[in-house]
Amino acid sequence: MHSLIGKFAIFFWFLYIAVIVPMFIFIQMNSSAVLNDEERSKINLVTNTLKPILSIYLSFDQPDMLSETMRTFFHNPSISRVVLTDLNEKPIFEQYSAHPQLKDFITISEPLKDPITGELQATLYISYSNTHAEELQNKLFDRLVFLSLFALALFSFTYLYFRKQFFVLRHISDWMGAYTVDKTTKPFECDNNNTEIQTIISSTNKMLGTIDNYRDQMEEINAKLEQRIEAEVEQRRQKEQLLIHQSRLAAMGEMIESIAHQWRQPLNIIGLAMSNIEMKRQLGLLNDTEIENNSDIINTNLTFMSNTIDDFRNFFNLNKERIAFKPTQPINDIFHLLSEQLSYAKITYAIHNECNEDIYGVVNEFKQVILNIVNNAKDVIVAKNDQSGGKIDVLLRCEAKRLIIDISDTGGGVPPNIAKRVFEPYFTTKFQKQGTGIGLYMSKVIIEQHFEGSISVSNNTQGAVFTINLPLDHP
Amino acid sequence: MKKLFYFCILVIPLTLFGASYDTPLLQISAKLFPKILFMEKGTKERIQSSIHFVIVASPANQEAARHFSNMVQNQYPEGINDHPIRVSILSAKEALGTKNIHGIILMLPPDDNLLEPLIKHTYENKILTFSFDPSLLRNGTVISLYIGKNVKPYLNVSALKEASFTFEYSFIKLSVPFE
Repeated sequence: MHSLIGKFAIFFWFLYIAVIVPMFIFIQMNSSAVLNDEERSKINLVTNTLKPILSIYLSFDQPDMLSETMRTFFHNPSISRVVLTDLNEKPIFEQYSAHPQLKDFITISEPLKDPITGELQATLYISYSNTHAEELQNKLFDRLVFLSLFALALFSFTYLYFRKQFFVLRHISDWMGAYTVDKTTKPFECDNNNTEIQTIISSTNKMLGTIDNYRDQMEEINAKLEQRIEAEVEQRRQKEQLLIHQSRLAAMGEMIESIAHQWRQPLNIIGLAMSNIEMKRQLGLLNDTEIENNSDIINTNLTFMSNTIDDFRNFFNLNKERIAFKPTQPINDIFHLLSEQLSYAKITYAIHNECNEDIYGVVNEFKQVILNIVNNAKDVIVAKNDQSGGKIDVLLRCEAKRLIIDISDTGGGVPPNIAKRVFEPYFTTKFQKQGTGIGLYMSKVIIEQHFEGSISVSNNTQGAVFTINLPLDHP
Repeated sequence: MKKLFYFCILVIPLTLFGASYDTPLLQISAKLFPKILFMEKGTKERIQSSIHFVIVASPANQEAARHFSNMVQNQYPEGINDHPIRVSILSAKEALGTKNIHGIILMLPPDDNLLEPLIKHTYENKILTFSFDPSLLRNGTVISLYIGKNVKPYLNVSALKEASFTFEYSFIKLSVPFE
């Protein structure tokens, strides 16, 4: 029983039993002895009061007065018989009570001595009964039973009354349990007029009114917040689009530079072929064979240039189809695009493929990431201005359903103080005209958001190591 | 011879009893008067060793006085409460001059000249006075006897007030007041 009223009831029951039961036991055990002692004391008091008088009456031979005095014993209703005997035990006076219901007599005897001579005159016998004491005890017991039952009934009515009064609290509890913040609830109403209950109901209604008010305010704030978030998301999306556009422009510039490098050799060859044709024509040595040979040279180089353009177009087409692909081919494509520039910078490269698993995503986005990292490696090595050139190693390995791509260079590494910032937007260590600071940021965005992977940078003994961690599980 | 017979009839009774006091009356009195002495608180306190009764009798009552004295001695041969009883028969004059008396039993006629000073003397010395004749109560005797269905002591209320005698309540209750 967890209610306050219930605890009160249990407490009262214990208290009731703790008080009433010992009281009944005490009365049963002690009242009889107390009342009997009291009755004996009363008999003794009367006897001791009348004894001197009786002695004098005996001494002066006053039988009438003696009889009259002896009869006064019967003023005590418990006395059933009084007898006065002389020295020979011959009755001088004997009388019985007019109370026939008396029973279980107790007889006491008292010697009467002459008050003048001190000689024994007679013996007084008094028989009395404790019937009245027992009746008194029974009455006392009956009244105690009545009082205890009355107290019990009073408590029970009180308990039931307060239980009924407090039952409204359970209604409030149920009502509050059914309360939801997503709709307005009518105030709790009750016909209980008790001040305490009314105070609780009033407080409850006030509290729920406040909650309703807060809910309205929160809904308003949420609506505004949603609008702000949508605006912010839109703004961020636009900014991201701008960044993507910028990054693509930057990549385009780098690609154009690569194309320029790629085209320089075939253009020279085509130019030489054309000069050869012109010179042979002027010398009159131009025949069909020469024309065909030079045409083949020109066509071959034009085809190479055309392929280069195709690579460029492929790289910048807007195909966003997500497919499963092996990462080695895009990596080779990037290195093929950059081969002239790498060769020019005396940078060698090696691709070590230890994992032949597919990854899932947009191929061109993956290429863009590789291009950014390799370009950065190339720029760092070039900036190092080492006559011996440099080297870029790409290692692909599988680790617990993940593809790990380590792209390391010999550029000297990333200074520790900027290692954490290289993936931030618009952060660059290059000269203004050489870098935009969005390449690695976009790489991070692509790897994390489009490939659900991660990218990090560390240093080895020779330079930086960019590690791309990609999942092998495909949806 | 006839004259001697009539003489004997007249004189012998007088010689034997001496006065008009019945023997039963004397016996009752012999039993009660010493006890009554102990009912008066002042007298009870004054009794040190023996109880001294004085019988003041007129010459005509001398024989009755002696008779009564013997009755008292016979009634209480061991005395009362270890107090032996001494009974003296004195004249009124002698009684006035005698000290350490606890009770005076008057066997005087009511018109005796010395009765009044004797009564006055007993009041002053807180000596209880007894009489067989209730008419002497009018002269100031404190105690006499009422002879009716029962024998009860007469108690002279005026004398109690005048001489400040203090009796036990139960004794007063059983007594017949005389005012």
